[in-house]
Amino acid sequence: MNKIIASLLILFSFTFVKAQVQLIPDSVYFVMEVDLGKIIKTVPLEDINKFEVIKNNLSQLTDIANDINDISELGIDFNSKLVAYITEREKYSSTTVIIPIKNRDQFIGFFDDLDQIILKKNDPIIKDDFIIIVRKNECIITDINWKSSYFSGQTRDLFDEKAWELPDNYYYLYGYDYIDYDDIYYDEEVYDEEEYYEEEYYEDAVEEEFYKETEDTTIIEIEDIDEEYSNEDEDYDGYVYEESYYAEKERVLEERFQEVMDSIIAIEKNQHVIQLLAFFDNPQNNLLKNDPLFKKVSAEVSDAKIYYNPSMNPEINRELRYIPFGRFLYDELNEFRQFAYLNFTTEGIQVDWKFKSSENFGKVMNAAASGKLNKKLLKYIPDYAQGFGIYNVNSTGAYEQLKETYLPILDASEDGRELLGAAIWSTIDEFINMEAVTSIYPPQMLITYAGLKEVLLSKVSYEYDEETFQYTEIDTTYLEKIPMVSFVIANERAYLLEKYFKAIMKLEEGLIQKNENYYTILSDPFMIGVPYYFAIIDDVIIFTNDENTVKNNLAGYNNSAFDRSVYKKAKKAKMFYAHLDLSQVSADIATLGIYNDTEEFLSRFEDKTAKVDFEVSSVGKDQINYSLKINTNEKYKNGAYFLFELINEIYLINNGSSGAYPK
Amino acid sequence: MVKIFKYFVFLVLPMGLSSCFELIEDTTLNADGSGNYKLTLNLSASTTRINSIMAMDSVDGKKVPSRNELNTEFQKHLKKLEAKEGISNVSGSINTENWIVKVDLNFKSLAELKEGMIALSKEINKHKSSENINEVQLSYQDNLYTRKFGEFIPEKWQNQIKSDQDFSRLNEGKCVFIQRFDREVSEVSSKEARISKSKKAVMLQLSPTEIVNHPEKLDYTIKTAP
Repeated sequence: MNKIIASLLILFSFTFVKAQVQLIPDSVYFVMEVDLGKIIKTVPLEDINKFEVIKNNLSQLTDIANDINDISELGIDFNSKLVAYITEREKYSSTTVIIPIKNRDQFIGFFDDLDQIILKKNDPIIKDDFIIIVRKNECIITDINWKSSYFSGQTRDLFDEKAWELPDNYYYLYGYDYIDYDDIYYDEEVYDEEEYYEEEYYEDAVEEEFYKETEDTTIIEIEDIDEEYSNEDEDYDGYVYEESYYAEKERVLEERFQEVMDSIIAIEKNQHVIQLLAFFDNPQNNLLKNDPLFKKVSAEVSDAKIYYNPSMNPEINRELRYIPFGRFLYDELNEFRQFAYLNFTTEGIQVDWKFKSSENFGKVMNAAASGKLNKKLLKYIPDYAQGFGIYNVNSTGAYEQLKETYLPILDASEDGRELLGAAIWSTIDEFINMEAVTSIYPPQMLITYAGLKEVLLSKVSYEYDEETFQYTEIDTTYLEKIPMVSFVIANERAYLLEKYFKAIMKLEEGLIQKNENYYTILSDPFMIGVPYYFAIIDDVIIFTNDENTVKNNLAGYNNSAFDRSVYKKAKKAKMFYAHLDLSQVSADIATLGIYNDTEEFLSRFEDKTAKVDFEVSSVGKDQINYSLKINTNEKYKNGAYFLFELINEIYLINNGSSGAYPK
Repeated sequence: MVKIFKYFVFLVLPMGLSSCFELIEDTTLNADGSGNYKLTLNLSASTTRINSIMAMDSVDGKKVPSRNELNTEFQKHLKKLEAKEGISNVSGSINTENWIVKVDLNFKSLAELKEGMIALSKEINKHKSSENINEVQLSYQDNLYTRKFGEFIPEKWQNQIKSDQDFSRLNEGKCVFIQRFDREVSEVSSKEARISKSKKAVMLQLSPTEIVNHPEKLDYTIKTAP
């Protein structure tokens, strides 16, 4: 009996949750789901209510008379899911948030009186580019950003079609449609003529809308100007007359153009709202139904999850269509998906990020990940390092797999450009030692960040003569805290670099200086003004601004090496591993003097520390899995508390609540 | 690798842009009121930070000019200054290695120098200048040198600077004002200004914080021997 009840409950909750997820159209490219039920189990509502960020936002929602201090009184269903998604189309981009509600009347009570009247009639609120729909179980808020570039293109085409006169400053310039309305710049959008002419009613609707609004006043106005200026006194200064006439005509033409464009946008907006409302009433083409991968992701249990499908965003990879191999790459990239699950644990926050590709690309990823992390690089992490990242891409293997998989596809193509690409690729492959090339790039590399360290730098100062107060420039030094960054690269051809250094030193003095076991780069290639050092030890190259590494630890920090337990984790990882200890970050920010009141800053953020581990956890046949683990300190019951407190402090410091940052 | 390094250092460094700078205003006055004016801005103690900013494409959405663009723009302003009435022999440089900016010019009278500077400042600054700026006094007549502009610094501007997070760091900077004469100085109204051993020069050294908190310290008179 208990089992039946439990099954019914699960079925009920799934159906209910599904109802919100079903309101995601299949045209979106980014989705985020937050399981509010799971969140409030991690941080109870009574604790959430205590955060200043919540209190302050609640007070802004209500007037003093109806002040509330409990978010559960908002009418939101905290046992359901909050969903947000982003859509990107040629005409617009939009962000939608679906808030689950359990008490519609209570929820509506927080809107303005006028809005409440609309919502009580079950009508949507349409304000500027916002559409708010409050249904029985959810509130849907959509913010639409209309792309003026698209509409300016449409308007221009309509002007061309109707042989209407365009303003003079509207012209085609280096691939951009440009009209100089107060320096507003319109990017060119690719205009799909077919789509345009398919909608036969469209032009008529625009014309109707336009003439309804303007009642032919614009055209009459232009005629009036012609008449007015043709009747001018002949003695009138010709130049001024021409200038005034032109300026006035331009003004009218620009106004007319803008009005036509406004009409087009008005029609589009109207149609979009109708389509949007129709979808929410009958969400047939929803993502859950039409995308099996999203369905699988959505069914997983986690505190929050995201889903990203770049193929649904026309702005991404758009340019790829126009380059050689473009179509081929475009099709390949269109199979890429990313999704992630975020969970709050008692230790902190765990994010499992998945990158999915085509099976062909999966083969390449597997080959790239087949190399092991180079353990001998790890000894170059000093014990004072705040973080490091190590990776080893088997680039030779990846290249061979890439060739094996994709070259036959290109060879079999019917596209001349792809066939030419295949021919060039085969030629390069025949004549160049790709194994040697791929052994250099990308390299087996370790990057370390060792915090801020004082470095002696030179500056100019002035010395004053007490007799005359004449002053002279003198070279002095000062200490400055600089972030210490090191790159350690393993490459069997490291000796080549040393050959170049020797040659450069002979060719030009003052660029590189040879010390006992390392080189100092005297002429700062980055023009920052800090010294850099190079060292080459067998097949290891060290590039750093931390002199301690090359001066005293050329063989590695053996006796003062980094935490051994982290070494073990790094050794187990595949292809990539990074570790970051954030316990010093607040102190470093305070040292840099970014905030005026360092005490206040430290009191807020000193305990918001965590250790972060990021690695490639596994590689499947078409999927690479990343794991991000944020271990907070023991002060926090779980990762959600840590995140809430961090958000709270950032909110407070940005709003100057401490008084340390007078506005 | 180089890119990662560059971006990492460039991101961290400018965040704490130091307020270490040295400004030297050096005015030499002849008996007829004409003279020479030198201005030196020494930012060499902030070299790494300025270089970090220079390496970025933009900061807060505003394009960062290249060294060449900076120099070209600077020379353009010097030419504008040269065109002002009563101002001649204008020269200047920006040393982008140590970040030291220098301007050197001759003037017929302090009044013309003032007018020229105000006019240039208005041309450079697209926003409307404070009306108080026209009330600034700068003169050398009858053996009396007068400078009065501290009291015309708008309170709004002072408050704006005071409210800046980096305000306290301005203390690390130094502003030096020197006036030189062809005769001996008999009296200086400012208690903080010093007379050189030769008695022909006066120097006032203030920190930027002092100027913001007490702009009246910039106002003083110097009496010279007849």
